[in-house]
Amino acid sequence: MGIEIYRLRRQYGAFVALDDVSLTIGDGEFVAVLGPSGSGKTSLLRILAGLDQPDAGSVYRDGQDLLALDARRRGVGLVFQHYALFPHMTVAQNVAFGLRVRPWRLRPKAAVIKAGVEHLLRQVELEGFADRYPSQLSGGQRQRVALARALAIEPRLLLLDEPFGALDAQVRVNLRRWLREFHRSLGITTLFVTHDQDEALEMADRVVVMNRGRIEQIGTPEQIYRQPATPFASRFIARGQSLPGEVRGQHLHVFGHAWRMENFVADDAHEITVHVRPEDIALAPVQSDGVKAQLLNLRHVAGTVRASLRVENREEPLEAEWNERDWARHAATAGDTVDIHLLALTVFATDEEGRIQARSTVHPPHASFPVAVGPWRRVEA
Amino acid sequence: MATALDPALGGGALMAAVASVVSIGQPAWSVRIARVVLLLAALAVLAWLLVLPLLAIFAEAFRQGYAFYLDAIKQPDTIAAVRLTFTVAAIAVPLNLVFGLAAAWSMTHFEFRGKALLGALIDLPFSISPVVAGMMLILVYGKDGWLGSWLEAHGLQVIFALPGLVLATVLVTLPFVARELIPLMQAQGSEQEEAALTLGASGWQIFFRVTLPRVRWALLYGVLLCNARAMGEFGAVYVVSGHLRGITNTLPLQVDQLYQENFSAAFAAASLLALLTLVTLGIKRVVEWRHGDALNTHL
Amino acid sequence: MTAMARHVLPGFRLSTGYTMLVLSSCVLLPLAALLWTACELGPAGWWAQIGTRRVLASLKLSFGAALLAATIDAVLGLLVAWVLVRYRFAFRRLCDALVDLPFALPTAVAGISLTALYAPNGWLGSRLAPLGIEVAYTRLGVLLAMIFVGLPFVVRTLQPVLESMESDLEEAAYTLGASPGQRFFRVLLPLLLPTLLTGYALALARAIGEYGSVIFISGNRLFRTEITPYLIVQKIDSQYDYRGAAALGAVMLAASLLLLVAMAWLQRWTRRWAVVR
Repeated sequence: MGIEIYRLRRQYGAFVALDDVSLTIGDGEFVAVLGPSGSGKTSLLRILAGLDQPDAGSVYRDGQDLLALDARRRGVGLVFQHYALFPHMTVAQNVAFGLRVRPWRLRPKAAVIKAGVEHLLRQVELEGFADRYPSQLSGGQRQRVALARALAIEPRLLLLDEPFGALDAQVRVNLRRWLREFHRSLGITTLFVTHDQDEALEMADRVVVMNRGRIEQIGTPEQIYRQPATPFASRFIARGQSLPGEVRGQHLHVFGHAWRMENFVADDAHEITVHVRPEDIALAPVQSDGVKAQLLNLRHVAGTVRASLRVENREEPLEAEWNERDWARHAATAGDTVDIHLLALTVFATDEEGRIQARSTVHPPHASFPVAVGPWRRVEA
Repeated sequence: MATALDPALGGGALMAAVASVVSIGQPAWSVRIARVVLLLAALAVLAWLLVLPLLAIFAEAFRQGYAFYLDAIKQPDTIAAVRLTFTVAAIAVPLNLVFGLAAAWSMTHFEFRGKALLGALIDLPFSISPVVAGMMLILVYGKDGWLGSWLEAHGLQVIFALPGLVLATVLVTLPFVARELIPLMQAQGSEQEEAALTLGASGWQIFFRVTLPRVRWALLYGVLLCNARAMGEFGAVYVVSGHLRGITNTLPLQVDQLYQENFSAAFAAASLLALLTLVTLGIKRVVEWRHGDALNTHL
Repeated sequence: MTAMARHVLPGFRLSTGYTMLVLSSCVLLPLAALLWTACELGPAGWWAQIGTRRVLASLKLSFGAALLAATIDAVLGLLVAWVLVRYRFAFRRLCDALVDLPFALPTAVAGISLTALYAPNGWLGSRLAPLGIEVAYTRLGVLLAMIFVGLPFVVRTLQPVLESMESDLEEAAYTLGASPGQRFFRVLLPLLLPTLLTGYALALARAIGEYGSVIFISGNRLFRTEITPYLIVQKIDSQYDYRGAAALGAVMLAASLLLLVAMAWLQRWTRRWAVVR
């Protein structure tokens, strides 16, 4: 059964933090809530932890009304973004806190607590650190203490608020992998909040994309990457860049080319958005076959080449990404004019209120028919 | 008396101080001279305004010798005044301690309507003249005051008695603890309390195990200042005490009365209060050096 | 309805309730009694209490001397704070600790001590007398006592700000070619001004209401060195004239409230710069 979140709404004054949010989390699932700051993801987390109450909506855990329980009795483990470790307690005291504050009838014996703490510290790989104070630990170690402290109360739901937000890049990557494995070994239902796409896509079973208090899409990382449901999800997850384009009849017109679209009905659409991902912009093998673009600059980053391309009708340069091997076959340098192919385009039709009416992915055939007005002039490099 | 003062100002210390300023860096002569002038001016201000009056107290107290000094502070009235001063402080300071903690908890962990007003009210006693504060209390708790007849009917005397002294002392020292705690707890935020809550701690457990240990030095600091003011309060207590010698005279009031009669005895009593001040300032310094970070930073 | 705060942490009622209880019995109720008594007099009755020559002279002295004392404190306080923050010298910490003295020294003790120093036969008084300067039992004495009690307010308000500015701002100005004078008047003083004014207002509030340190050195001479708090005490103590005292108290209270509002406004003004800093 897991957690059932149904039509949550939370408003602070005029600011809507959560707008009709519904979500089901399966038992033992690892779910990431991904969104920019202010998207409502932290509000959702705080409501689940009992640190805030929604204006409307319900949360059930295995059929039990979670909102009726106060934070103290909810059995939800929360790891704060900045850990919120108690600075005046040692690591062991921090971890034992949740057990020691139980009413004395439910409180385990001191020896049991001690053994439990040792076991947890071993699990988070901090055996030798029991008597240290939080200020004597590195960021990654503090993070794991916070995790152990939250796990000590044997929570049925674990919540992580930007778990790696305060760490350096290197520690972050290692800890990500570790946490993924750790979750697998525990199997505890976990929800974590992040603004980092890589983090969400790499770790979670399912990703919930949020924007402005609404859920834009729920799906596996692959689903969201392949079929972004909204322009926001496409931009935020798949790095989709919008292109000037329009739909006329059954054809999509972009950069003077037209491609046929199947099953796209958006006659009364308010707005058409066309997105292309950096990796779907390919260099044309033959000149004068495709869209003209000027190579503004090139960056070589660990096996990939990132390029900024100036194309007509678009003010911002278009970002493209190729792997080094493909790039090596072309003899272009910065400043050259090249021809590019768009391998895949995602088209969204939205109504006045921003709701999606239709969505389609177009794979233009490479040797497409140009409908340009004049003959293309060959530009020598 | 002049001889008692001169060595303390220490020509040697002054020279060393000046030398250490001059030796910093190698700026232009004009800048160096300006530095020395500023330093000497500041030291002169401190010596003239602060050191001299402090020394004068002890010089006057011992002017007639140690024996006289000891006799003066052993007078029954003076001892009674010391006892009363401690009694008043022993009641008023804990009251303000609890008030400060409650006010800080309320002001820093919750959002509610009228919070800004509450904050202003907490600060208000700082800017009310102690004399006015004492007078306000008489208007409420005095014989002809708002609650006067009710109190009389129940056989309670507030004004010209111990409760009045305590009330006046509480009023003028009300903001001390709260003022130390509120900014600190505001900077620390509610996150750790929230963490404790999700771990299953009750309100009192959160307070005693998480909040209190983190603010203990600031609390001590506030209590220290509160106590110094409570024991030394003059204006407000003067108005409500009726200064009955040996009965409602606190030590500062005793100093005032002795001053009219016996100059040196007054200074002997005053020297006790000055000593209290010095001890307070000493402990305050130690707390600031040792735990300065716990007073105003957040972890 | 949605803007209603939700209190997640426990103890809201207990802590706020206790705070309100203490504030009500110690501050609000007495305050109301004071205002009530003052209002009962009516404007004519109020003026009858205030408009006497004795009271007007005391108000003039209390406010005039307090304004002057706070101004002098602002200058001296800036000097002391500057030296304590910027210079390293022997006994700096001792000097720093000394600044708190007027805070912590019981006012009556400070009062008799200042009097002993400046009395005609006192250690300083006897030296100033040949120069024709009389301090004790004159308005100069009132001013001196007020300067004494106000000094720490200015120093303690300025110190943290001076420390937080440390020298990078000045160094920036220095690299831009500013002279020491320019650095002080163009860069530091404008930045310090709101803080300095806050310290000034605090010192002023304290000086206006001060009783213990002033009454000994002032000598309380009719029309000449009587301060308003002294008159209030006189009315209560010897004349049992609570209404007259309340009328005077209302004036003092209005002055403190005005200062409090000014300080709140100043603090908001200061916060404008907090972001940049």
